Amino acid sequence: MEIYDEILCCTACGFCKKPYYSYRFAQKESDFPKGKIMIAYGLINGEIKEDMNLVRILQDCSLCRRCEEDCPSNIKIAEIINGARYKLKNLLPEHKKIYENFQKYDNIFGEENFSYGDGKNAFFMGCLVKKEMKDVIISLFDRIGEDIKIISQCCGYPLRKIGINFKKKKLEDYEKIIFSCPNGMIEFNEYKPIHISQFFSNCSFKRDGKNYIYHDSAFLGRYLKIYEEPREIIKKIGNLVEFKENRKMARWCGGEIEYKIAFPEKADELAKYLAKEAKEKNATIVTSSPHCYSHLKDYDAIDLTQLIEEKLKNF
Amino acid sequence: MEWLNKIINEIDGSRIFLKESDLYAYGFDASIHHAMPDIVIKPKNAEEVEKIVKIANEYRIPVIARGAGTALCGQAVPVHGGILLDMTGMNRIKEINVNDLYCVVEPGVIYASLNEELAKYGFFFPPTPGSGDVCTIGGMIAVNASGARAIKYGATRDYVLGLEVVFPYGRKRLGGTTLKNSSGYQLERIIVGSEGTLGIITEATIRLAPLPEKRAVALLPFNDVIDAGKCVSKIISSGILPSSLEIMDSICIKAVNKAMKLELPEAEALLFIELDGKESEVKEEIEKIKKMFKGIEFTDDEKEMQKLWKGRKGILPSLSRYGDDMVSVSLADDMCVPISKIPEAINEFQKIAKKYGIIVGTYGHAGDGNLHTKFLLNPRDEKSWKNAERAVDEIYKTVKKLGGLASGEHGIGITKAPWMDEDAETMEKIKKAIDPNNIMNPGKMMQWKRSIISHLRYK
Repeated sequence: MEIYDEILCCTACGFCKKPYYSYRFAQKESDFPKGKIMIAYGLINGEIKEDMNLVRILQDCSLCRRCEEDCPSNIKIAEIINGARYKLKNLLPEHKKIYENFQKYDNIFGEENFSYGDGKNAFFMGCLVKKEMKDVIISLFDRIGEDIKIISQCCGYPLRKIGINFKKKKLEDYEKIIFSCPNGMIEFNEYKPIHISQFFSNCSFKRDGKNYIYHDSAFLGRYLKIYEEPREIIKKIGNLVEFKENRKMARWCGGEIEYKIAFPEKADELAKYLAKEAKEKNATIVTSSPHCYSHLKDYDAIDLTQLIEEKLKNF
Repeated sequence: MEWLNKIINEIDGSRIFLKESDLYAYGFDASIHHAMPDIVIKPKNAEEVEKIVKIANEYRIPVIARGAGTALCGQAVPVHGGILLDMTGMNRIKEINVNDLYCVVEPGVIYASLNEELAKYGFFFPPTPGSGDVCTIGGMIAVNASGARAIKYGATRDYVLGLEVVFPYGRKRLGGTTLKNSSGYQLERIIVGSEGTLGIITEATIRLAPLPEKRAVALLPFNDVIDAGKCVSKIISSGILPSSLEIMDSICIKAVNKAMKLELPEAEALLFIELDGKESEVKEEIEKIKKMFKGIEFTDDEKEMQKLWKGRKGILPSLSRYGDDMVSVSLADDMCVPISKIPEAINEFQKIAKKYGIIVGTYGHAGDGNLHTKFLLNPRDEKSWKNAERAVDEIYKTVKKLGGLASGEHGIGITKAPWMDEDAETMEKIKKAIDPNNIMNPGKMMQWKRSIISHLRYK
């Protein structure tokens, strides 16, 4: 997509500000999607110069696409902002660090990768899954006795989101490649990835009758359109509670790693907002992306992978 | 710069924006224009606004107020640079008094947020601008905004009981809180529609209306715009006062269906009819309309009504998806004609569009004669713009011939300045008396003397 043409289609109506009004941290015009679209425009047509303020403005967006739901012209706002990032010459210091780690260790945290087991199917364990729930994954697949090779690698998608291009990795051929992280699924879309919620959707689970409120990951939901499978699993375990804004209207939690390391305070505000609603509804948050889990785990939250591991009855 | 230092001394630095990208972003509203301010300040109260305006007046620096930046004619674009005041930081609802039928708000309160609060008491502020989910009350007052429900409920001006305004000579209270007021010049009224050229609104007292018990909406397709016009006249002359009576032409229907995938009937014209009031009244009116137009079906299902309204509200931006290299731009956007002249106006506009080789979508508030035309053109082609400018002129000449006005609800700003109907000499005299140094949003309305396609935001 030529982002300049897309920007010209934007009437600058400002309807994309709607979901931001409740985000108390929208302090200035460039905090809103419209402001970022216009800054991308000015950068491309040479009316404004790149400086670190401009870089911060353009990076201060998770590309969650929530604002696109309020755009009557269906402007691809996330693609415009992401496209503009590819034109930047500078990175934020926080982003420089993860890029260096990626280049050096093939892991944005600079941790060592590994592989485990063997089989015709694979589980792709991205950097954040490894960090947050390596043992849970190994225990889950050991238990079900499936021939699954666990490959731990960095998919690199968080870097694409901040406008870094790199040669796409190749994966070996497997019958199925399972992911618990939507970032990896988007990066390896051509391998027909399946989400862990889809892999376990027909299984039976032990009921505990607790209240679980499902948080739609922006990337699993609005990007990959997977809304119902996680809910089906939760319904088998306990009572499914919904956020006021759910499915394609769901709020982003602040958890994408590349955002959170650069804008920790704003990311925390977003998490608090969701945690408050979950608490009012007396429910444990269920996440379906390690990015969301690692960000919400300080509240009453569990990842779907952990829930599956704990409650799986029959595979 | 001395004035800048003085301001920086008065206002907390976290609410002052001076960096290029920030100034650039603030230079847009929803019009075709763009210009950069020298500084953006987000005041937190009237005292701060007063201090800033005082310094600006002393040093002759332009001051431009900006709400959500949804104005369609360049009202918030600082064509002479200067100080842009982002009023969205002043967003407190100070009082809701249903016993005396008013509320007091700061100018940065969002229209939809105010109505959300008022709904808790069973009341609302009715003007319903299309941008109501994001626009501010201050901006609405500045342009006398209204929308689809003006036919029954009127415009913003009908609800402004009192204002607090910062003029170059100081902060003043105009009007009051009572429903009636014969206590002098209706000064609050002169601020309505003044587009920031006289002073900065820092507080507004707004009259409340009770929320209707029931609403119902119907959609009526027509194979001829003339028939749609006849239908409007028939409803109005029958004594029924719908809360909304909207029309859209075939170009708008196609655009909405394409961009929003709503599956509206593909017809030459569509009418939206909304009735509201007590349940029994709405039922009675539905029956009356059903007798007039066979086959018409109303829905009172909230989701269904919202879906229909979504189509109507999405016309303006959806037109941007009409053609491959064409985008929708805000030109000749809200003329008003006598209700009975609507079909004639739509047909005339189509003829003008054909003559100049451009595409013009027409829609609007058929019930009160307020139409919107949207121009689809290639924004990178200079010739397109020149043609459009000539077409705009011819459209406005047609509007005047039909007995209409240049603007019904969006205001004048830059884009409609040459065709403004109000007496420019009197307006200029009032402005000079209040703002002798011409610092309040200079260059707008009667002061705009250049082509409307200058300061274009499209490159």
